[in-house]
Amino acid sequence: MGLFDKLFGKKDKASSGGVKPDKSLDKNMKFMKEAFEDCTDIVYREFEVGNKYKVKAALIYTDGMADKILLNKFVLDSMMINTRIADNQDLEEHEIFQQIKDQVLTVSEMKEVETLEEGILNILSGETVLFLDKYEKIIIVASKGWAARGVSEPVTEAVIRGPRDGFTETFRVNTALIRRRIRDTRLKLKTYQIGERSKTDVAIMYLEDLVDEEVLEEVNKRLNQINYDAILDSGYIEQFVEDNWISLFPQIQNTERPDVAAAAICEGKIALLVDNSPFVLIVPSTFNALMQSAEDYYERWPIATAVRILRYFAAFLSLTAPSLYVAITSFHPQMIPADLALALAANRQGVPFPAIVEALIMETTIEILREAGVRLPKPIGATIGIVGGLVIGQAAVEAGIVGPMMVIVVAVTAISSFAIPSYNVSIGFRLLRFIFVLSAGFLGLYGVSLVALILLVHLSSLKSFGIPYLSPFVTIMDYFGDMKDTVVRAPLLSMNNRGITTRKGRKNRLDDKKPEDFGKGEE
Amino acid sequence: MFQNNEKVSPSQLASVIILTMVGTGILTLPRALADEVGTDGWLVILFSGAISMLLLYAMGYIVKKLPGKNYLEILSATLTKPVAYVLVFLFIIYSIVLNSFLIRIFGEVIKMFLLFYTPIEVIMFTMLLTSIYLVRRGIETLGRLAEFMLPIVIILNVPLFLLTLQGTDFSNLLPVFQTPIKDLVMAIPTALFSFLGYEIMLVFGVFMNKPNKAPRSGIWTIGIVTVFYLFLNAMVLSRFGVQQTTHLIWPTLSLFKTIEFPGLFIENVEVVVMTMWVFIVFMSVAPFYLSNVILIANFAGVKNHNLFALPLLPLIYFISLFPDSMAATYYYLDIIARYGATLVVIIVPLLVLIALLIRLRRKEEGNNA
Repeated sequence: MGLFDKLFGKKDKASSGGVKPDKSLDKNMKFMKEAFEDCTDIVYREFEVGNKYKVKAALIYTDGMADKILLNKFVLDSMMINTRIADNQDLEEHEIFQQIKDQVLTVSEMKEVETLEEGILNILSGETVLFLDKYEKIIIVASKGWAARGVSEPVTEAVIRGPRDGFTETFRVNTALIRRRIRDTRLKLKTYQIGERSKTDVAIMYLEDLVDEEVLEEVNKRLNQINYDAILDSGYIEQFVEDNWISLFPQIQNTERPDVAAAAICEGKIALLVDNSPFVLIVPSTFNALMQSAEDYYERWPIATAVRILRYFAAFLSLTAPSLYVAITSFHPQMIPADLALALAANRQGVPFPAIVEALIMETTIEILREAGVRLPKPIGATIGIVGGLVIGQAAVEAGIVGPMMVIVVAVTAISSFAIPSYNVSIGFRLLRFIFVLSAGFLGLYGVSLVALILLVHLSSLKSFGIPYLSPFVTIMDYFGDMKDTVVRAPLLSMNNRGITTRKGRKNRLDDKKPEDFGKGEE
Repeated sequence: MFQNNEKVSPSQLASVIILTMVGTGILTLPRALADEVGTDGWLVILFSGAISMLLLYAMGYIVKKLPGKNYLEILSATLTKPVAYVLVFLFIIYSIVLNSFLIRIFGEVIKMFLLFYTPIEVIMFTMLLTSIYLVRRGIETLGRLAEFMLPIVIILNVPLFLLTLQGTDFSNLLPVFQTPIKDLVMAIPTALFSFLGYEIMLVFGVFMNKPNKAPRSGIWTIGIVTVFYLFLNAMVLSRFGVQQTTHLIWPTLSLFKTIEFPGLFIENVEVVVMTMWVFIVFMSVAPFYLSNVILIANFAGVKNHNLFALPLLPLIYFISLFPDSMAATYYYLDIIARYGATLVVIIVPLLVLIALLIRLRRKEEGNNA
């Protein structure tokens, strides 16, 4: 534990300073009311407890964030009615507080804090603060409960086979979804509060024995550096902790699926959960991980492998298809078989633009369509698809602005980009595609190769928390076992290796059993 | 924070060296060999491969014995400081000129096969700019990129070689053992210069994370390249025969140009081959460029080598435009290869090795005494 104490020593920062509560309830209430001046959503409820010794008490909570039924039934009911019935005549005055905590408050979760500032933060987080007159501590009753979206199917990562629960906006639900999948004391959860004003709960979850300590330390360091008004989504955290903020490529994976997060944790990665965001971040991440879908592991391996090859091919198409078309038609027509070349030329007859302009027009159109489709309500979105895709495409060809081949290329490109599992990779590709088209228009296939080289150099230079972004492709010799889970997906029975993200010396997953050892039962 | 002190693994450095070597020698080797020894080229390749292997092993040994020392420091430690500065200066000149001519040949080839109407200056300039991007990212990126590219290059080459099988006549490889030994020996330098590129081992050795493995990785580095050259030579000869091969400027490209595959969608495979060749040349130009920049930084005593990446561009650019024609380029390249490479690749490492061995021996004696 020594290591973790050192790592997370900053945690008790909040309790070091702040105003201690006064003995007098009235003074405390005055302080709170001043602090919450013009905050009409704060509820104050003052009441009395007990029979012989009457103790003045007060509850403060935020309306709408605290569970009122819980407060009425298990706090107020117990304290106001049950204490009067109870036989506590022989109690000394100072014992009353202990009595209240131990025997009166019938709530499952309760804690005490020392300063008024902490009390305020708890009120704003949805907890309820209980002040008792002449008691110098603040009792916090866990009463978080608000209208929240329930666990529902993840929208961005739908699968045909596999669990259908997805993360929600509620922090605790999310941690529970992961905990339910890894019932291990070694699954650790450390919480931070980040954001000068939002005080957003951010948690890291990892397996203590598999995580790489260097990465863990780095995550802790980078999270502690964040200083910003409000963290409204995990996207903020992502941008504050990623390695290269200029790059077009996401160096941190995000997921809505608890099974994906749990699988990543089992590879020694760290999951970052942010309150109010259904997207959980996974670090360190590789390009390869962004090209995987949860379903790959649930289906049979030859099919999963085929699908992955298809996916990489689709990624290639979505990046280069229009630029290859432009390069070949305008610089290297000798590549095209004679019959096809003639047909192409006939198709393009009357098109007034060079291929590059044609490509840019169509690509821009389709990007506008796509952007419009995202913003529109669902029923109208479909209409846009039909109007945009079919009508404009058809009309553009008939009007002679673009050739029909170009429409096919652009359509294939657009569809291919949807075959990439990660949305944030595919939007990067969308932008790069324009650069490819431009370079193809100037230097043909040579230009395409140059941009591809620059792209490869850039990807090779990227690192995510110390792990090369293109691993295991760039660490083939040192981590050959990792290649089993890349373009191919080897049978689970043979994936003995946990991979580069796991702590060194903890690589063995199957106790070195061979595939032949499985599925036979007792002998 | 992570240790970000620019390290490459032995396999990454080996990949860099393999790709660097292949990029320089691939184009002309079969013609040069056919010119000098006819069908016995394979013997010459084997000999030169063996010699290169010994040299690279020696360089690996030097890196192993003097870990964490850059080229200048290695030379200073073994051959005294003034000599070291002179030799490093010569090395810089040699590799700048070599790089320039590589770029020039690359430009000519691209112009001939891919972009007929684009000025060669544009081709060369864009290539150099792309190289600078890599150079500024440093050795770590280069190592990863090389390890990524090497398997792809190998995998893509297999179907290409298979496609060229059509129309080959393996009797063209015969007769063997016809050339007198004297001619064979005379031809070795020619082949040796097709292996050029591994001299960067001494420059990049300082970045190796496991210097102990340097000598061994050198062996299979050269082994792979030798096998590749043997294949290439055999394919070209069996396709064209000795007579025709001697008349081709770039027999390797001509070989791929002959690929015809019924039912293949693409008419001209040569364009695809040329596009891939851009990658190979890049992996040859960029390491040279990086080694130049690192050496200049060492020479000037500056830590950050990025400073020199851009200023070097005009120099390389103008030197590459210096020869009037392809023939002149090859003439100069031949001179630079013969004298420069002999010094840089053979003499200097051997001198360093001898000095190092003497030093180690003395140390041992000192310990014993």
